Amino acid sequence: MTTAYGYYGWTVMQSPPEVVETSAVADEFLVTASRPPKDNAWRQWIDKMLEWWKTPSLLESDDETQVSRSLIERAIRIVSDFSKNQGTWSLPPSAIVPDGNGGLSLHFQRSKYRWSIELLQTGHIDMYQFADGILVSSDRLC
Amino acid sequence: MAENSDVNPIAENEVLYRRIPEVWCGTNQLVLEAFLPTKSDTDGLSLARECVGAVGAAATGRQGKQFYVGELRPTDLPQGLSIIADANEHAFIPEMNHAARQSDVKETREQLRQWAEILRQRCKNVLGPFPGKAAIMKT
Repeated sequence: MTTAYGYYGWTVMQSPPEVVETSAVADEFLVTASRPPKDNAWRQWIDKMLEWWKTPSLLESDDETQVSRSLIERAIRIVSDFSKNQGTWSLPPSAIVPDGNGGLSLHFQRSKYRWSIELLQTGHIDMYQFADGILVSSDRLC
Repeated sequence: MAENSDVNPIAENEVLYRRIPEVWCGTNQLVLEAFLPTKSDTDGLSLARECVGAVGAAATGRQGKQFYVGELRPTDLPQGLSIIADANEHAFIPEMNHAARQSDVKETREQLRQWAEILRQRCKNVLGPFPGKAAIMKT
């Protein structure tokens, strides 16, 4: 199933959320993203990411590879969809950071499990799952 | 081990510093990106040697930005990794290079992230933040 942000299939503990195809452009996307999720932690992340979308240079760290607005948009869609889930993907990210190569990484943690979802500048989305520090699975979602 | 006879070899207990942009150092932990190679890690994961010091290691970062510095020792490296000193001030882990991060081979990407996770866990001492002082790097 191809989604608005292009990923499909999951290998973690829960089925993916139901995703609705959209053709939102930037303004409509901002309206969508501004609908408040239940949890304040999610809301804070989305607010921060909207600031990044307005000013991508806020994500610059140690070099000049800037994260594009289209990639930030994609990340906001994913986070916004996650915020509406129950179960595993109901926990908010522990960190959302630039990857140093023009991409963004979403990090999640629950007890001994850690997940990272990497939105690469190339357009790929990779997911990695660790248990007790050991990589137990990875997938190229798109 | 030193590649150049003018370069002092790395001692087993030498402190090595990984420069970490502030954004990769959260309130309680480092993120995996702190030990994943970036575009500047073309030959391998770059580390400053002990003689540089933590403040000096951070100073090699971009001016106007703040950096943390993670401490590692050669004994922290997991099996499969080596370390090369190319200067008395600099060393690198050749297996953890930018090409590996960009690889189309799933196993290569996985191995890199496993190594990065091990280093992240073994980096027990993080110092800073300290200011970067380098001019803007062109990429």
